[in-house]
Amino acid sequence: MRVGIIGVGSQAKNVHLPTLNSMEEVEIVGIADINEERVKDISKQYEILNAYTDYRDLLNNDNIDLVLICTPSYLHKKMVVESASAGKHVLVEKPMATTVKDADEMINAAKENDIKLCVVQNYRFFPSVKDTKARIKKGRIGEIISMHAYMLDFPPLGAGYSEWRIEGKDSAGVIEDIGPHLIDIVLHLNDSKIEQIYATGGCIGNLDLIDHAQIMIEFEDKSLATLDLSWMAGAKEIALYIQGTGGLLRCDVRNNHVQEIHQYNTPLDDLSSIIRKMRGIVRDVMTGDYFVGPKKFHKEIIRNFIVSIENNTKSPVTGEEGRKTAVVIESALKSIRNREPVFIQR
Amino acid sequence: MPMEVMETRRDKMENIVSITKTNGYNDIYSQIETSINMLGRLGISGRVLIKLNLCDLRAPSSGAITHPLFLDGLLGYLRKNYQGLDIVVIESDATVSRPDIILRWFGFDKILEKWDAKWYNLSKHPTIKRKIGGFYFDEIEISAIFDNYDYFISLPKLKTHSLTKITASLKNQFGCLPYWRKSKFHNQLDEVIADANLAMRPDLCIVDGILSLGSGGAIYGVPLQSNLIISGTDPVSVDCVCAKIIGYNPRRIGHIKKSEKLGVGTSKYLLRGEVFRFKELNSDFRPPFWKENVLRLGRFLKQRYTLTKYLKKSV
Repeated sequence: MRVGIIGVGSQAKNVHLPTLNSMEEVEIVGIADINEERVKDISKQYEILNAYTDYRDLLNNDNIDLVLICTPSYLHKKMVVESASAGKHVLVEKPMATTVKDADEMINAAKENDIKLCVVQNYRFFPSVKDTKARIKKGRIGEIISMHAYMLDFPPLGAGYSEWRIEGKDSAGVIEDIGPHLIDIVLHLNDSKIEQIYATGGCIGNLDLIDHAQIMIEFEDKSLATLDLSWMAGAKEIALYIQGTGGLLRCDVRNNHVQEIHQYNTPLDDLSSIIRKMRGIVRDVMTGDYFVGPKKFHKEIIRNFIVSIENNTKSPVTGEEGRKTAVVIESALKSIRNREPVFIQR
Repeated sequence: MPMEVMETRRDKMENIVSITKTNGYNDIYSQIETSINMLGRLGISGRVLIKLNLCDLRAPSSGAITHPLFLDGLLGYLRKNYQGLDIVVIESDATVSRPDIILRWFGFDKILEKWDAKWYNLSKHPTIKRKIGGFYFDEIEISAIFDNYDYFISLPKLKTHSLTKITASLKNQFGCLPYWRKSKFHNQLDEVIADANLAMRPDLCIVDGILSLGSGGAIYGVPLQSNLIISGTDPVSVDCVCAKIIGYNPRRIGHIKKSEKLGVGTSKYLLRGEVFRFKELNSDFRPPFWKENVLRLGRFLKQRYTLTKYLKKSV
């Protein structure tokens, strides 16, 4: 598959370029970025022949089949629609969109031009999330009653990160940064339709942005989900507590560990769970996977997307699934602004 | 139904236990029909009692209580195939259960209304005493409705049980005892279950093993999509099959052994329907070996502690 990348900032540099470069089935044909120096450096580093400062030039390159869009999310709509019009399959970084209108335009463009659209939602490929999904599907905790999901991470202010998530006029802060990961996991695990959303959040300091937030989702089947997002917590964690009519699931996403609880947990249950968790971590440390973390699953999503293009099957994360995340982001921001719940119209 | 009439009919029938594999609760009506048809002619008529298993306020999707769809399927089957039945659905209050509330909570009341069936809480109506000469009771107190019925259907769940290992058709009749605090019998559970079945023996048992409960029970455990219906006219035979499905030797289940000894039924039966390797399901049902033994140890220590406390008080 011949790939072109639009936007070679921190995400592309740290994750996508090394991933694509290590895949035999992929050839990086061209890159485009507004920053000329960055384009030059990267094209030299990865020996890429076609380097552009205007993404439209990359779209005019007939040798490119698949475009990977790694630009700030407010640019996604324009670039996805234009890539689709140019007949390229599109893999877009999360969040695909922050408004439903934008998401719809992208989905329509993909349909009209008969191309495949896929969103980079790599966290659902964590074995712990897959295991949780399988247990829910098998009915091991009965029907879902509620989910408590946490994602605590530091703000993207490290060296090499652009500041659009902090300084951008329309930035949704933590909801737009790590929120899409958690929202996608929750909606992936509970496929019931969303009925209403209530959110609250703000800034611990003095900036006009959201650095911590809670989003509450009520689903059509009366189940609930609470999503706790924070850039400010003194810890890093991504975890889920899923309460079902037949039990409870504790999912430590990052450490790849799932614990199933029925009735109550005896100390021996906890001990056996800790032993299992430690065994898993030691195995991941030995293979090196533990240090790669979520970046490992970019390869899986890209590989699955290429297979779906070749076999004309469903994308691993479809535009429609990206739209669902956009529904939650848009409604959560509206709810925070107006301090009232948002009812989702279908 | 008088005991001697029941005995005669039982003698003439072949003792069959049927196993039907299902596709969840989809098309449950025809699945129940298939399961019951394998048993031959049943002669269901007049006043029919149906005993549910509403042992606690747990959602049907937990696998702990009779699924409303299962009852819906059975009532649909009865109404279609038998005319003029007076159907009464029964259950009693239990230590942790109020079936009158559970009935409304999970929509059983609407199903009863749909099929014109009555609801009868065994704990809230007059009782009678019946001399049985059982292991625990010489004379047992049961609901007066058991003096005035023509056919009795037991509708249990397929579950593991922390005290009796399995709970299926025989244990369901323990729930027919009209007492509220049934936990007082937990130390002689096997004997009381056998006695309850001697006094209130079901004519037909249909075990809901579509969504079962394993690794614990009878209230909390792992819900399992085992997709089975086990039916039979002999509760001992039905429980023997259920024990094998779960992974226990029926001869090592106290209440099965004791019920057979009392003449409630027999462990000799003919198996019809889906024949498969029971061992395929065993690992899902049985809790891990260490857990089973740790729980046993916990119960022993609890009893010992209670006994020590009692002795200290006595001194």
